[in-house]
Amino acid sequence: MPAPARDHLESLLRARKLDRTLTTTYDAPDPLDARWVVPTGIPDLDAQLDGGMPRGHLSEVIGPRSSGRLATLMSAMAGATARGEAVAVIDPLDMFDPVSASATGVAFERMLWVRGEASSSARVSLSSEYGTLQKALDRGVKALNLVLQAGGFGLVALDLGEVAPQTIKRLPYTTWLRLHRVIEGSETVCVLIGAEPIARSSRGVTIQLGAEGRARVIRARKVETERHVCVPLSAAG
Amino acid sequence: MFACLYLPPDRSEPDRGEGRGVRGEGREEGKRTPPPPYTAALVQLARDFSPRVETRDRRTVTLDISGLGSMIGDGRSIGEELRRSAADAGLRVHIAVAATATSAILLARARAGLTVVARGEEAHALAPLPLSVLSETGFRLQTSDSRPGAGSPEPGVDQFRRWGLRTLGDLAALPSSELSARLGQDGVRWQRWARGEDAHPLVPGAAAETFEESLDLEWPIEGLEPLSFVLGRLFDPLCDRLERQDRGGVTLHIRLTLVTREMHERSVELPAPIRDARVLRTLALLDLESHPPPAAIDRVTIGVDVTEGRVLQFGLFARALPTDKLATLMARLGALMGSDRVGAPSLVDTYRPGAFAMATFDPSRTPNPQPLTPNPKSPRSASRVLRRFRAPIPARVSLEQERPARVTTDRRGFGGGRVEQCEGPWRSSGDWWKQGWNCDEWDVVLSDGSRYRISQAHDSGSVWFVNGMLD
Repeated sequence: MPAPARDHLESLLRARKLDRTLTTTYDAPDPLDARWVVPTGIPDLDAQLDGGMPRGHLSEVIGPRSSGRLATLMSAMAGATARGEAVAVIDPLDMFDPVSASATGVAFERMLWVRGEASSSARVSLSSEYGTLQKALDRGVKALNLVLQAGGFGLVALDLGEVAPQTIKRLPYTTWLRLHRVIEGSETVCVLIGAEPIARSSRGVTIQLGAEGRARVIRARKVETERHVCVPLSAAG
Repeated sequence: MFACLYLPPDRSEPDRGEGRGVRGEGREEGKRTPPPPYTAALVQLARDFSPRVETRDRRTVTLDISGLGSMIGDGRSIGEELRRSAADAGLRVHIAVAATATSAILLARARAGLTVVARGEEAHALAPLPLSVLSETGFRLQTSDSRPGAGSPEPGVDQFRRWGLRTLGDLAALPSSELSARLGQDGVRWQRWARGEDAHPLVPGAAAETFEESLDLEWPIEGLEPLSFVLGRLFDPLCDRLERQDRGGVTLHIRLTLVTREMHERSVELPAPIRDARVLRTLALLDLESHPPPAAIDRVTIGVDVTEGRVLQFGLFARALPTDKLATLMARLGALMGSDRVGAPSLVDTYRPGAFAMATFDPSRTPNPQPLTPNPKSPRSASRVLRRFRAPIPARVSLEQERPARVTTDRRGFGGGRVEQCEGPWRSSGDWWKQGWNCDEWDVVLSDGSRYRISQAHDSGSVWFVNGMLD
């Protein structure tokens, strides 16, 4: 499409406030629009994210085990609850540990915890347990959908960190599109936690955590240069 | 505009002193005897027209009819409608419609049939009435000055008669200043009543109303889908009544009469007063989904325990989760995941590994955000959050110099390997008088970079477990 025609179309979309669906290069956010992001509370990472994770979009925090995914999420949730926002954690495998999470300062009275069935082992992939895991995952996605549809939450996370990637891939991709449509234009940030990329919306971000505190922020049509950020150490305070 | 309904006693009926007021200034406290049935019929008749109904005595009811004009018509039309409804109910009442409640009461007492007085004509309409109507209607002063020797006793109709006054018009025509000089404010008050002026606003009585709806089904129904339509038919009028009365339901009762003649009863506690029909229907259906009736349903009855309606004031910037939405969300999540698996996490006062409790999630109870306050009792590594196995995984741990050197398990998906770093042990024990615990916990970093929390349970043969992974 010629550039002037595309610009005209995009300007029309922006006039109707439908510009969140655009997949053009991510523009630098308006400083006055800073409240439309949820900071992670980790200064180096927030600098890469231009303030934080955008509201009304689906973002993800991915990485291998012990890369600091949960610590990053809890740091963001601690900041959100300190601002008076309600947050929610959908925990399909019932692995969240309140005692260790309390060290991040998250206010539990503002945190909704939805617990699935407890998994007897990590990354269950045995055929006998596959049905149980798939059922837990389906319920977790349904619970996430309900929480997002209710609205009023600042940050909602689905923890799939210990769910095998092949199990997640069995979910129809329209699942994530539907979730994005639910929160589009709202003030809620939906975060998926996983080992591998799952899904993100057009303006959402992927925070890819690696070993030794490396983090990379990926956005639509733009991959920022890899930088070293102290994800877990900053959260430690 | 006000209307007054007065039910005159039959000649055969003994006078029970019903001319006395029941409350407030100028009226006496009523006797604590149960009201006769005609009083309830009068009140019900009045409530069919207006929610603002004041019971003056057993035979006199006043109602505020402001706002009925757009629905019924002018004062005369409203009066005619009241008279028709009273006749349908078998009540032969005197009805008066006037701009003030006092005028309506006095006119209803003194004149049979329907009396309608235009606004501003109250004093003129009351003028020919005898003074005795005041005492008959119960317009009496409470003792305004009970000091001993406080001067003249309470002025009354007898005193006015001694002055040569015969009608309310005579009393209304007296100069107020002269009356005040002789009788004080009590005299002025008598004169205001004679002119038809209200001394106080109408105080509606609380309706002893039960909020319940029932439906007998022609054919028994099975399943929740057809029941949802039935519930919709019941909740809509019920919530309309709640709206009119400015009430909200705090407990929802569902009673299903089954074809087996058994009663299936459920009660749902609501977190806040709710009168939204869709929300209540959803909550009822979700509860019945979790606790379905064992047989087909013959009769559906729903009821709510009510309290005063809520007034919510949200902040300009705070993102609020409406309570009714939250209630629906919690009910839906409870139906999906189990009611005990949804809530806010809370800590318990123990060092037992993995101990926690679930609390009710209600962010509105903590309106003031608190600054970040990490838990001082939380364990050592604040930089990592634990994913805990609720059922710890048995492990084999080899030790070197009494520290873990290698961790392996039989679980698929758990790699295990050589321990590169380890911190610990953190020893804890407790609850020795019952099923206690006694273990050493270690945080270990394996060769693949993954971090685990492992523990050695001393009370069960020094068995090693993987408790979770740090992330």
